Amino acid sequence: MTGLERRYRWLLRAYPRAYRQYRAEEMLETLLVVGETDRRHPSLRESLALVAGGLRVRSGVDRLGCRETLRHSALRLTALSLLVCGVALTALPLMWRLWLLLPGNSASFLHGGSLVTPALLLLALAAAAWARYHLALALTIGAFGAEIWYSAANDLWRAVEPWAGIDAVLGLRAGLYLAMQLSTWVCLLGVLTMVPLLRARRSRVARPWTWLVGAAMTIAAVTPNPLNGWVDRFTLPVIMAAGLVAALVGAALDVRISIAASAVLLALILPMLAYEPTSWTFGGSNLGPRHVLLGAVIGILAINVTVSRRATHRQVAL
Amino acid sequence: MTKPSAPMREPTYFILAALQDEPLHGYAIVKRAQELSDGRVRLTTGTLYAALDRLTSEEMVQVAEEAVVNGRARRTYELTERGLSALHEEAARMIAAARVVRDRSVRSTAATVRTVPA
Repeated sequence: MTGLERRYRWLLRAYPRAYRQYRAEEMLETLLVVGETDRRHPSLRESLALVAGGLRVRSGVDRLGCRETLRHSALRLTALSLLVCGVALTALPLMWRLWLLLPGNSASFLHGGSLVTPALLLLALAAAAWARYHLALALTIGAFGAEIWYSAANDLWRAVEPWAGIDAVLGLRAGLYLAMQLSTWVCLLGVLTMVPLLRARRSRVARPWTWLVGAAMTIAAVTPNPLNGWVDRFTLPVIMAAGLVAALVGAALDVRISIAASAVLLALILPMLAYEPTSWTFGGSNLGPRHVLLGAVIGILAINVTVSRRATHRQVAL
Repeated sequence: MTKPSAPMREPTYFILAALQDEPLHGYAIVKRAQELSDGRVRLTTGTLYAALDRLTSEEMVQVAEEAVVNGRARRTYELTERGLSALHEEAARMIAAARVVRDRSVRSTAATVRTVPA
């Protein structure tokens, strides 16, 4: 076996095992003839095409065939990613509470949070994974209701300061409190994503989805959010970088990654946007963090929409 | 199977065009597509087999022969009736698109000739 053949075999590992068993030898034959005999290393162009091709076979985007199927699959993956994000983020207070109760830890400070919300979101995730979207939608709405009930029962809305005194009647304080909660946006975006799935024709391509959700979540997890506790001066550059990475990964491999990651990034950014204290002062038109965050949100959306539209045709067309 | 309604991508068009005369194996398809496109379409192996997978699943291309050459599998692919029909449809679409421009340029040339005094 020559060095070139060994390197090509290594690159072909990007393809799934079953595919390699059927195709690898044939591809290797073509690669070695195309790659010229005096060459010792695969060309960059050929290497990138093999890696991208292998990952596309793994993601299943090549089998989608048409825009309608891609749309259905993207909505499904977005809903699943949002629910995974929701479960992780709403379960954090629960895990923190359990950690404090362990021997050796101080239980003097108990982080609040409803147990019902993560439980319902977990059930919604299971229902959505099994394509029971009616049930998943009902459970997601239930999770949102549980969050409202918990915040009302514990009078958490009073924690919102700026509009105190004028919003008791109008309920603006409650609305502002809910807008600052990640669970609100996860549930809202999750519901918006699942509604079209209720009437959509079932996709003939149902799998794989776990690693795509994982890819979208990985992109979202490196951005500043309560999950990783990143809220500092690097917040905005990292958000923008994550949005850009999502767009590039989606364009190169699978457009569904950029769509799902954008939705999760939105769910993470919107509470931060609502939380920015400078945004809720009357008559203020100064360029504050809120405006920059808003710019980041619009920028991420614009980049991802543009890239997704351009990449969609390439990834599903013959 | 879904019928392609959108325009075909250029690599796919030249892969089908490469197969219209005779069945070919992977490397021969790469070379023939490059020749037919005057060197414009340079298929990578990854792109070629991704396209062949999709064309096979759409029943436009099928495996004509499987052989073992130098200890490795070599498949020869051929165009199906469906693939030939799709290729002709795409060619007709491109001819119609080209006619829009060519007819216009012919008319504008004729109009220019009429306005020039003898």
